[in-house]
Amino acid sequence: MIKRSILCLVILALCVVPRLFATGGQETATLTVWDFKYGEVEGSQKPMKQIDALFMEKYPDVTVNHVAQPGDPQYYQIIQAAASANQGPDVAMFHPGAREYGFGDILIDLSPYIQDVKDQFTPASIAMVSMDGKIGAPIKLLPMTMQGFGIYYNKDYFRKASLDPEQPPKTAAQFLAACDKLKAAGIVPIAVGQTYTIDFTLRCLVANEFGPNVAGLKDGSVKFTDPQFREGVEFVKALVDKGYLEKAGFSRPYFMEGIDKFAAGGGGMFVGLLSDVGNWKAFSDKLGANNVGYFPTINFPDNEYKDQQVAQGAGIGYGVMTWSKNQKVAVDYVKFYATGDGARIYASSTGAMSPNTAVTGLEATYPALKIIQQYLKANLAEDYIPMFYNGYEDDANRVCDRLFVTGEITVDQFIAEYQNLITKK
Amino acid sequence: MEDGAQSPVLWLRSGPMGHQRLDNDGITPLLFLAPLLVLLGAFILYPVVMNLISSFAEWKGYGPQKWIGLTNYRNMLSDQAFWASIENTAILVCYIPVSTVVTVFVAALLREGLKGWRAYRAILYIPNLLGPVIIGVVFSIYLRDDGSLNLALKWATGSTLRFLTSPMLAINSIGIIQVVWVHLGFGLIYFLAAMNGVDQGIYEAALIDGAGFWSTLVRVTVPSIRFAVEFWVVFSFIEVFARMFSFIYTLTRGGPGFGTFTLEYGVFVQGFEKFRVGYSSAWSMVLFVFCAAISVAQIRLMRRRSV
Repeated sequence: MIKRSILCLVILALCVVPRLFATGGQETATLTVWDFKYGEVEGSQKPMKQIDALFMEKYPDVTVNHVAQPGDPQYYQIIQAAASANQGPDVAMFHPGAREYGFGDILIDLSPYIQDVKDQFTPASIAMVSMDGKIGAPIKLLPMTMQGFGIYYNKDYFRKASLDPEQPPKTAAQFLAACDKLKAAGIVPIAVGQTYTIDFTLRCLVANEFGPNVAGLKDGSVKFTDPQFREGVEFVKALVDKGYLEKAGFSRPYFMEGIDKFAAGGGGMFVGLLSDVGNWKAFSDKLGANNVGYFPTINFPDNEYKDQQVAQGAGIGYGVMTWSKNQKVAVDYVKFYATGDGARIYASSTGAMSPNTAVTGLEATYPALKIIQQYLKANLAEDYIPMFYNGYEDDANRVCDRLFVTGEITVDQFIAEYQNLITKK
Repeated sequence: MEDGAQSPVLWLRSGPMGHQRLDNDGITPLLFLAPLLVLLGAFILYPVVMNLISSFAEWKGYGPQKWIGLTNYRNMLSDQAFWASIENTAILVCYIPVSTVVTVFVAALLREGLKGWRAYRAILYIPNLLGPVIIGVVFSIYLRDDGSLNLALKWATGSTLRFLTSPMLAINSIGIIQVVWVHLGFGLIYFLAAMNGVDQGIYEAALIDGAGFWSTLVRVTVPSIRFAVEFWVVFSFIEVFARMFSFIYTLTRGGPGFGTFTLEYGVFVQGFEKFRVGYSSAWSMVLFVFCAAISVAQIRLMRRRSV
């Protein structure tokens, strides 16, 4: 009996003692992070691992469990499932704008925690990560990148087509002439990826058509039925009809095959992004930094605005979830990525453009970046797509398909449908 | 056999009125049925009822639901995407008779003892092993404007077809690939099994009477496997209405425009891309009504044959 009692005590001690040691030592926290960039093994993952390591060095009691999730829209379905279970990651990445605002109720307000770094960010980026884009509203994300679109061109191909590589074809007439010469030289004038080439082109044109008044699309002070938008639509339609926009590209996904096509020398021009992927760095690294030219849009003679650079103040950012039990350290993590070394490493490795003005970078090595930054400083115009509801881009792209790809509708019908979408509930 | 030894189903059907009271055997039959009833309740009945409720609400999939009455249904009826999805689903339904005829015909050919029929059967079954996602991705590459099929077409005829960028060709490509071709393999196994169940004497009698392949197929085989054909048609309807999503998602994402946007795809887009789960539930109810109507038709057909 005594032996049995001793044995029980020993077993009990074996079970309890390790726990005592565990709680007696320093407490460790695991910070679970979800995002849709970590899965990019060739792109974001490497700098993210580096930033995570630096963070854990600074916070030795924190272990970062960084989980690669699929891209949009699957990513947001997983977030939706986490929200319905009221549990999931401590930190999650979101696209600022409609996606962020839609999930705003599961993100904490970062405003009280970021006062020390807030001034480092551009006002446009802070406005965009504030709920519903309103300055002074709760800030739900801290922006890591800004985003925008523009036209990249291959200078070698321009030379082959007897075009001046240092003079981008910025007016409608010059652009058509350039396409004509590229085509005559046996070069695909504009490499295309399904849906987004048209989408991004219209975003570049709308910025140029309405300039600082783009936000007026929300209150109806400017409309897609206005004549300058029609001019842009008819211009793009002409590019399709003349075969300048590579027709075969309309059955090829933009991400990443359309991008890869241009990066591999598959076209004279390409409507690409400013951050993340398909950007100045990706193209410069593939085609040669001095071989990539850039201009932001196409100018029409009667337009009031010229050379407007379409941009979203913020492209991606991290937020802290309401259910997180480690909110303080989660906020520190979010700040670590958007400021200081974290922001610098991410921007320089991926070609992302940081909205943090304290992060300066690679202009000397990448001429295309220098040009982009000049346009961003001089002629920034807001992007209209994130102004509207979740899924607006998908709806808008289906209407685009019906005019530019399938030819089911006329330009008049397209304009009417495009305008109707923004009033859709 | 005594009543108490009968299976619950037989026991229920064997009374003078067609149905007997359950309490003759106490709670035992219910206990046997309980696991199935619990599963049906949890995974069929509860979701259907919850879906019906949320179809009258504004809801993004989590958090509180806001009751908005029939607004979702009204919005749906004025939604261009909804009517496009009905039209596209109807086009796919038209491939069901094609699929049925082709499958029965090929099965009959193989049953005739075509040389190497086992190999043909295995080859034709391969698409079923691949699954819709793989098939969708593979065909999204084959069918591109500059894909290998168009390269072959250009070589052979000098022109190409816009399989994925013309709405009419895109939806018909889906019909041919997913409704006809992919189902062919499973259909062959199914119909061959049904044909093997037909009394060989009937075939021998037909042969003696001088019936050829076609008259044997039309006058002997098809009437003998009528039940199997009916089941196949119902199965195909359910497939077209509720199991095309993964193929469409990987092949066309419902495009170009609304070219391949089906009811089922619309449920996904509204609920899981736009997070309008209440509105998506209204779409789901329409899908549910279609599928339920088909199931009821099937049950009636089976009852008619069993009378």
